[in-house]
Amino acid sequence: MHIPDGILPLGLTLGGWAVAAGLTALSLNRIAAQPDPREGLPRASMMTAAFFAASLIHIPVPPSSVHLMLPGLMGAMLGWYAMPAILIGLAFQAVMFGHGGLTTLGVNAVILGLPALVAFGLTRGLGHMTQRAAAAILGFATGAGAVLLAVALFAATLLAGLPAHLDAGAERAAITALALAHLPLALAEGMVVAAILGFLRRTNPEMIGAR
Amino acid sequence: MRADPITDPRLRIIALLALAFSFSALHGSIALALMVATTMCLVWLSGTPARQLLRALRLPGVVIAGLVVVLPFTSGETVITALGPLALRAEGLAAATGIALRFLAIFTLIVVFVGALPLSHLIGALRGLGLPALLVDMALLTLRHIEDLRHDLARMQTAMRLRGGHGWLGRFRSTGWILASLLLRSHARSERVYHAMILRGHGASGAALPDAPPVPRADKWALVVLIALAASLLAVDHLA
Repeated sequence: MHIPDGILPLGLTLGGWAVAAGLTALSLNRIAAQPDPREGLPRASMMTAAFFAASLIHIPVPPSSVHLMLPGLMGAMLGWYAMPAILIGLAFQAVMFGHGGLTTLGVNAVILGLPALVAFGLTRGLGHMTQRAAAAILGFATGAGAVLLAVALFAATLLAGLPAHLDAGAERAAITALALAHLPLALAEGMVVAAILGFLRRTNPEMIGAR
Repeated sequence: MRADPITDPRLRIIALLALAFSFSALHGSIALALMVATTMCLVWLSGTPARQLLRALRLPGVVIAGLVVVLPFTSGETVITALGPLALRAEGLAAATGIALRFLAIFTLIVVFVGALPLSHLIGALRGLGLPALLVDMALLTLRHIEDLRHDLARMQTAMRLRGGHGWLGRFRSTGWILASLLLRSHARSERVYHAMILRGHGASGAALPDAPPVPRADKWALVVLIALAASLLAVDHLA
């Protein structure tokens, strides 16, 4: 779910780069304020590699299969490191696979980075939650909600950038089709992220509810 | 004789960004034709094989094709012809052609300018352009982990398939658990690698960065020409 080059007008692509640069600068600023800013670097790099490889993980959702996006998991596990990690992962995907784009790198980073930062805010206390069911629900909401927010941002950006003479009926149909097409992915990712966070909460709670 | 328009990776990145953003703003038919001609010239100059371009284009081409096929039938009011229940519209066709050409041209630029550069050189060039040290370190470490992670993931997926016995819903939970195990294992390895790097002096205060190589004079001129070209295309599109 990355927007390729050539679709969006210059204003949107430059705006995307500006917002992504702002969010990354804010994240780096918050990381620099931590007692040891480099402490989270190994985890962030490992998660960036996982984000990069996420497109290789296919989960059967009849009649087809979907691949994971992981913005919610990135936010829950990386905190302020999530935005730089997503930016790097997307840049690698664009250069190595042509997945996404160069002029749209900023827009794509915002589409996945904002949900990750929202997930970070939601899951700050997850590592210390004692109720297993509540933690599972929060984990599911984090995974599924982040995907749905990313889909909403993706659809809004795409429709804002498409030719102005696209009629309103077609716009509504496109938004509905896009949301419905991603609903199975949101549910699948919600369940997988809930299982991952549940596992980590039991074995290594310090790995979630990041700083 | 053919040669890369620019050899210095830092200047390649600047030229790529200038041309890509310029291309993304073009809409008129004259400017689009000049854009295609410029791209073909750069491909010819760099000696990039057509087979390499086509191979790189396979995956992203499918993504863009979906949009380009839909637009001519959903966008615009001037009907050119009717194909059964579908009406082919002029405005949508023009928009789809523009999107396809811009996408192909920018994609080709990426292959020409940075496609042949090893990622570690690309990251080094970005550091030379002022990318924050934390991002550079994160990118280099990520590069170090990607292959390990892919290898571990393939092995664990094979093991999961061999174990079998999962229902459709259980598949989500077991996928989550193998991913969590993978993350834990990779995290431990990542910590070990990073601490070993620190012990070898990585990031130590006072450690000198390697001197950036000087930029060849011909590269500077080539960059000026390419930036002027990018600006000229914008001007042509604006005036036409």
